[in-house]
Amino acid sequence: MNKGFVLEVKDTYILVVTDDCQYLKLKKRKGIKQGRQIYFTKEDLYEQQRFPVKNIGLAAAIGVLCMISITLIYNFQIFNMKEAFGTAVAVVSLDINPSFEFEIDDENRVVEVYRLNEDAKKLAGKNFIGDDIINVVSSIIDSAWRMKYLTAESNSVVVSFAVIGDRDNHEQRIQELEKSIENGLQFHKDRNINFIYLRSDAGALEEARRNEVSLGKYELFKIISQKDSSVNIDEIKSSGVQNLIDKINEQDEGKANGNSSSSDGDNPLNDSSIYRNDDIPKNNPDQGGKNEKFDSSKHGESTVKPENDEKDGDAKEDEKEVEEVEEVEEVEEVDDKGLGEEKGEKDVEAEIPEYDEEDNKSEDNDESDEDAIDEKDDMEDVNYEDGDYKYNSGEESSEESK
Amino acid sequence: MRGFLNLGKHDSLEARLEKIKAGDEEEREKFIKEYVPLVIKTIVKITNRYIEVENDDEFSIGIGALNEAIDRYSGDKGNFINYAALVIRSRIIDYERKIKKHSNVISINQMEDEDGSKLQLKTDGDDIAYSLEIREQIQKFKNRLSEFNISLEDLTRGNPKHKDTRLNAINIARDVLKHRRIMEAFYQKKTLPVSFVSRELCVSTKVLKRSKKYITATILALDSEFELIKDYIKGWEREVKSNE
Repeated sequence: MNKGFVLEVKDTYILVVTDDCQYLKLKKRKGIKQGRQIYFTKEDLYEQQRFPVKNIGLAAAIGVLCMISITLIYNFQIFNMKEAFGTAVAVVSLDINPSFEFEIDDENRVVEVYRLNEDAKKLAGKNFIGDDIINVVSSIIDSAWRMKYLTAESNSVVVSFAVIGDRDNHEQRIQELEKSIENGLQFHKDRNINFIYLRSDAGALEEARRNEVSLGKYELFKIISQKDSSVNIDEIKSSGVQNLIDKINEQDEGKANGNSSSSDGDNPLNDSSIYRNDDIPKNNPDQGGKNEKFDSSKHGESTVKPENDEKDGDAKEDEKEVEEVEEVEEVEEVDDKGLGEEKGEKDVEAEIPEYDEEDNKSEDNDESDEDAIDEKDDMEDVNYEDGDYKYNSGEESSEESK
Repeated sequence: MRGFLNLGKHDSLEARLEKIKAGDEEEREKFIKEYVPLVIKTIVKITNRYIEVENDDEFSIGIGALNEAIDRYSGDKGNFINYAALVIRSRIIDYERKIKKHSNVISINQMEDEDGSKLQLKTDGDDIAYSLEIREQIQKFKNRLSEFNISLEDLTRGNPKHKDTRLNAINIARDVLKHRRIMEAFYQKKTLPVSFVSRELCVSTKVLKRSKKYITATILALDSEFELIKDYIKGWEREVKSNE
């Protein structure tokens, strides 16, 4: 940290003299005035020419340094250097309809973001690099909800992930990743969002990239094309996630009607909308070939209707179950419209536990963690929500703190 | 090797936090000092404003939040930095909400109460006088610099990057200030007489030429009534010395 004295304010930058006697250009920020003293960090530096290379020796030195560090990273994998530049070890794709793909490093921090369609560009202009993947996905879901990409009718979110790079503990890594993403997104279940988790791998990623489609959509394509070989990847690219999910469900229904003896294991999505994770034994359907490690029990988690699942969990005829679940879904959708309108209030409610927790520090850690995330959630909201909500929540918080 | 390095670093953070929680106040202070940039970064991200040294409520709340994060952190909360940033963010946002409410209350009172608003005006007036004075000082400094054909932009480019080079340049500036004949030539020619200084003070011309603008600016600052910038220079010299 440094202290700086503002000598001059220009259009795009300010000039300061620092407490260690340097004259620097810093980024301009709101409300800055000549003659003020400010605290600043390295990130506030105003950089125009990043690398003014004056002589060839310096350039060569930098080159050598880069080579050494790359060698170090690959050979010894010193990931302590990830502060400066992380190395991607996994890819996570998020399809709502805005499609995103993130490369993340060893500690689930985003090192690269790909916005794969126009919606994605509209939704989030923010640079996510360096943030925790869970936070990033959560905040995108929040914004998608606000901007009505996610609604009670179109409530599917496809999260797909693959481990990249040639290291040996793939299986363990992908399990960890899956677990942390599922846990991280738990608290969105209030919103009745249907999360579909699709495990993928480097091979599929390569294919997806070649076709310029997100990993999640590519996985959906693989599922659809098994039943309907006429479908091509371009159709998939242009259609929304909810359509694809509906299509898969339709396909499966059609097949179930045509041939009642067919096993539901053929369709992992439908599977998961009927069974809870623990209700179905692990069976790997034949789809996907050698690359795809399908784990149907993990394929989708219906956060929507756990109680119903419990009721329906016992073995019944597949067809009936489909119908029943769909009925329930409809009822809940109606409820959800009501909920959606009162979202502001809901968020305020979510805040209260945080203050409770403050008074009572002995509370469960897990819970406080969730609160922390909720809190973050709220903050995100503060920036966008209308004044009414701000006023409410402000009152809540000050009352609590009294 | 990687495992070893990672482990070493990880352990030390955990161990340090443990130590602090056990009541090691010295360690806490050191730790907080190290994490001050995180606090500033997090606050600036929310407010999109610089934190002012004179009005640092947000800063102290940020530090308080960091303390809170240290006390409440446990291994199962994930990365400490993420967790701390989260706590800081929420405290700052709480504060901003409160401020907004509060400032509304004041403005209404002002409208009703004439005496109160007069009082308010008076303190504002003091602020304005103070900032006018500072502005005047800056303007004088800039005028002086431009007499010597130097702009503030030039200074940002000609910064001696290394701490020792800078300190050395300041020392040279101080020596020049003590030297009556050099100072005369300095003001007469409106430039630093490099070969003269080199001869009289036994400094290499290379050093002088490289930091010429910086040395010139420092001489001008030290030889003015620009107290704030003088304080900055003095303060830094003192700090460097005390660290040695």
